[in-house]
Amino acid sequence: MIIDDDPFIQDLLKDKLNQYFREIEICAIADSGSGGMQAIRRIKPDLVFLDVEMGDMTGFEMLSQLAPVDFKVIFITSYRHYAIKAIRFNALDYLLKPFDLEELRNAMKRFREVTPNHINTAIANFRQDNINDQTLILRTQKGELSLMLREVVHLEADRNYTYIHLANGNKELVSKTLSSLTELLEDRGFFRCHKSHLVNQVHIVSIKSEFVLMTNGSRVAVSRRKRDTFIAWINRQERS
Amino acid sequence: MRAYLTQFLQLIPERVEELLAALEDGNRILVRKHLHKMSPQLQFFGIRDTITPIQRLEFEFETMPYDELETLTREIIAKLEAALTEVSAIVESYR
Repeated sequence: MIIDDDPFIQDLLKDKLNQYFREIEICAIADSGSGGMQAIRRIKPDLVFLDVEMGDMTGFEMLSQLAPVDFKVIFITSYRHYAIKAIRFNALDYLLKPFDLEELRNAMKRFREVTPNHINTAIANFRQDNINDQTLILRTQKGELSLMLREVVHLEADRNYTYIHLANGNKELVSKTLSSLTELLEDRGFFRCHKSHLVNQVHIVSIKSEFVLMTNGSRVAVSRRKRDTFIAWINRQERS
Repeated sequence: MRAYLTQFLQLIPERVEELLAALEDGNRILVRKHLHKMSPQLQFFGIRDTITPIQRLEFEFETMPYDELETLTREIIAKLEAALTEVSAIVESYR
């Protein structure tokens, strides 16, 4: 099923699916969130291509009203929409309009592989007021890694990989750079205090001249260049 | 391709009207919304000189001085009107 309020996008996606994915049957096309909900309840599709921003509601609002969701979702959105960060944070599939064929093939491959769809976790994340109760979902070579943000003490760069240090003493290695994780976490209570370290504000015990002491006993280096900005950031976090 | 071109001739004038109305109302949010909506179609047709200003407007629509926002939007509209003339000639040539 395709849900998008733009006739051009409906036609373009329908044509690409018909041309390159003949095994896919398009059972309905809806041009609004409310129309999409009605069609989903009636048809019960396996996969929905869902526009992030529609005239009557956002795709996330539509899913919230349908939760729990028992179908796969591939979000469709324009270049660098503000929602992309939230989509990536939740490791959800998305396609950028006007649809690169290779990206569409990859998304369809993931759909066929029946990888778990974290849409219900994502919906819960969108509903939660407290960011620290949110779940960060990362794709790793071993599968999906799901972590509550409040469990994460700090993250440590190791070339193209990152160690995630957890409150229970464990650490997880993920094949993402610290920069890409910083992009996902910097407005969720995390601060890059050093080129190799990202710390979670809720786990900071104290700041010393060259390091920050964390709740797990770690002493995380603070770069001299970032020290003043870091202290100002902590003061702002405590006030808010 | 002909169907997409015909659709371009149907959708873009409507959207330009909506954009002009949003500019008249001084409604930055609607200006962004209409530009955002037409952006994939413009990318698809490779009307590249509209893409960068649209992306800029999408990111800066809240903070950009209104005069600048209006000038940039009117420049995009002028380019769209030129594209409409070109597409119209192509569609006509199919007949």
